[in-house]
This record gives sequence, structure tokens and C-alpha cells, in this order.
Amino acid sequence: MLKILFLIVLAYNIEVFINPIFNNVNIIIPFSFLTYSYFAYKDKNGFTASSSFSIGLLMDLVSGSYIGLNGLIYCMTTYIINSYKYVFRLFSYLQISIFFGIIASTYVALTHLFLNINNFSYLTLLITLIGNTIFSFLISIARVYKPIIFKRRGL
Amino acid sequence: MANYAPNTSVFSYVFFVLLSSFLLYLDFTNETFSKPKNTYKTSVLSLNYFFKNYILEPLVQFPELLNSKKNLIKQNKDLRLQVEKEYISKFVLSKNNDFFLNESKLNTLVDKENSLNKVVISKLIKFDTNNYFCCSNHKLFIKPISDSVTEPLQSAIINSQGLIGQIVYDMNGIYEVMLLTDTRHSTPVFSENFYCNAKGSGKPGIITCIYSELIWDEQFEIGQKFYSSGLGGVFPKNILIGNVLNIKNISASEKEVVIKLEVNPITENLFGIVVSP
Repeated sequence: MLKILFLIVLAYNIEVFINPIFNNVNIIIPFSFLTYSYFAYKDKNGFTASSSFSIGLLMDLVSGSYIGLNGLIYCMTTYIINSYKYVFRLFSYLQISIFFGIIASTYVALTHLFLNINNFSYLTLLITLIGNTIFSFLISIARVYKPIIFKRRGL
Repeated sequence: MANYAPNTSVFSYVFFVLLSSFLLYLDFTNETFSKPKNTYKTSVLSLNYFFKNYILEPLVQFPELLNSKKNLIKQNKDLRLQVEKEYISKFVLSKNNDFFLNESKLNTLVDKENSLNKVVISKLIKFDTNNYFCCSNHKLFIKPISDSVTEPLQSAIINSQGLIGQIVYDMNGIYEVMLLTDTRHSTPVFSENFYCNAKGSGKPGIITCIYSELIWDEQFEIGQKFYSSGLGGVFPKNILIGNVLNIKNISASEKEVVIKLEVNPITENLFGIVVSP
């Protein structure tokens, strides 16, 4: 669990550096949230409600947003991911990428409702949806087509 | 037999969702958790500052020390710092007639004892660029280099281009600065005979003034200059804030003047805290 926490916080720090660049083209990629979603999806038994709530609270503290905002969204996301745990096996990579694109843009929409209501933009949400779907798809493709050398080493 | 999805007990999720919503409500409406959040921020910033100044910098400078260039580098740094300090301290003078409405006001301000020249130079500790470009809360954190400020709260902050914001929190010597563009911030400005409180828009470099045409029927021009009015006593008077970028119709009688700020807070690492007289 500590490793997951470390990676999520690391992803948040990357997000802080990269998002100002992406903001110029109205794309917001919530790396920390996507990292959390990936681990929630990858975990064999799925995260419990209490662990998702705790990670959410930690992220609220780290990101300086309102306490409870990430906790709420992480809890709901975990429930959705856990509910579809076995259904995902029937999905293609593209379908899973679209799913992650949708939940990432929902996350952006919910956080912007609290943090950026004055400049709430549906255009940003639409571009974010497309951007996150493409990003998730590229990540999944990269995993499939990673160089054989990595596969041999079991990385 | 069908497999049930793991960890999908609705009760626990409903409980934690309600708990999160409750915490969110408390923090959003009353800022109940501002103290622990500030404590966390202070400790992270202090650790960062300590690591940068006492661990990373000596390590980076170590090879230079070996090459006996230490003195030269120090001298170079001191000189650069001095130049930047001068820029900030004399930023009033660095602008010509354009900066103030007329020359006499400039001279009065420079001659006065309690002038803008009295600034405490501070170093940037952290700029929340993510929030600056994406969201409504625009803030940065600074720490005075040498002098300390006795009453830092609400002091105006400048860089060499002009006003950038005001201090809202004192976190044990590290000050949180709310920028003019933060949506919670309003700056008293004027242009000719028109006075208003310009609200931060949440967009980088933009503040806005809303007025009723029933009260003010004169037209603004694109590029028209706005200055600080000094009302409220936080910001000094007659400092150029920005130019009119656009004028929008909000309703049948209300209009919004969009002002593009003269100052860009992300270009410099040194700031000045204007010490209140």
C-alpha cells in the first residue's frame, strides 16, 4: 500500500508540472487520479471503501483542495471499478480506455465545480475526455507492444 | 455459479461517501480544516526550503568550491541579488510618466518618508502553477530574505513590474500571497472618474469590473488604463494595474470591463513586501 501511496503522490507532482503546459490546449490530465484508478482496477480484490477514503483524504491534504473532495470521488470511483471488475474482462483495450477517459473527465468536472466554478467550461471537459481516452489508450498499447527485452526480463 | 465482485458492500461506500460529503461541506462553507492544511503546507514548505538551501545547494556548489571559484560565484550572486533588489525597491522610478498619472504625484511619493521604497525583499518559496493555470485559487508563497515583517497580514506585494497581490496567511515566517487574479480577491481601481472593485477572474492576468450603465453611462475604450485607487488602505494609490482588454454585456443594464494586468507574477523569483507606514 505504501508503494501505491508513493506512486500516487509522485503522479500528483508530475501533474503539477505538466498540467500548466496542457492547459494551453484545454486538456487536463489528472495523473494522480488515473494512477489511483489504475491500481484500483489492477488490484485482485479491489480497494476497500475505507482505503479509498483514506487515500482520497491524503490527496486532499497534498493537493490543498477541500478536505473530503477527493475522498468522495475516490470512494465513488472505487465502487464503480469494483462493480465492473469482472465485466472489464469482456472489454477491449479501447473500451477500457474510454471508461477511464470518462471517469477522468468526471473527476475534472467535479473538482472544477468546487475549485473553478467561475471558469467552468464544457469545451475543456470535452477535450479532456478525448485527451484522457487517448492517453489511457496509448498507455495500454505501450504495455502490449513494449519491447521484447522488457518482457524477457519480466518487467 | 456466478462470481460476485469483491469489495462492493454498498453500506460501507454509502457511509464513507456521506462522511466525505460532510467533511467537504464543513470545509467548503466554514473552512473548518484550514488550520491542519496550513500546518501541513508550512511543514512541507519549510522542509523544501531547508533541503534546497542547506543540502542541495551546498552539494551543487561543492565542485565549484573545489575549483576555487566560490568567491567569484558568491560575488556574482550578490551582485545579481542587489540588482534585483534595486529593481524592486525603485520600481516606481523605473517606470516613466506612464506609471503615474502625473509627474508631481510621482515626486511626492518618492520624497515622502512612507513611500513604496520601503520594501522587504522576499524570495519565492513555491508558486502553485497548477492552480494558477487551471483553477480559481491563485497563490504563491514567499519568505523574507533578511528583514522580518512585524505585521505582514494584508501587506501589498510587488515585483519589479508592479503590484501582484497581498499577504493572506503568515505561516511562521512563510507568507501566503493571494494574487490579484484570485476569484476571492478584489482590487480597488479607478480610471479617470470611474471607481470600482475589480474582482479576480480566476484566469491568469485578468481581473474584471462590473458596473451598471444606469449609474455610469460613459464609454470605456480598449486599452484604457486603470490605476489602483488606494481605497481600503491595502494597496498604494495611483499604481498602474492594467489596460482594458474587452467590455462585455452581462445584462440589459450591466456591463463587465475585462482588465489585462500589467504584471506577470511568474517571471520573477524576488518580490517586495510593501511595509505599511
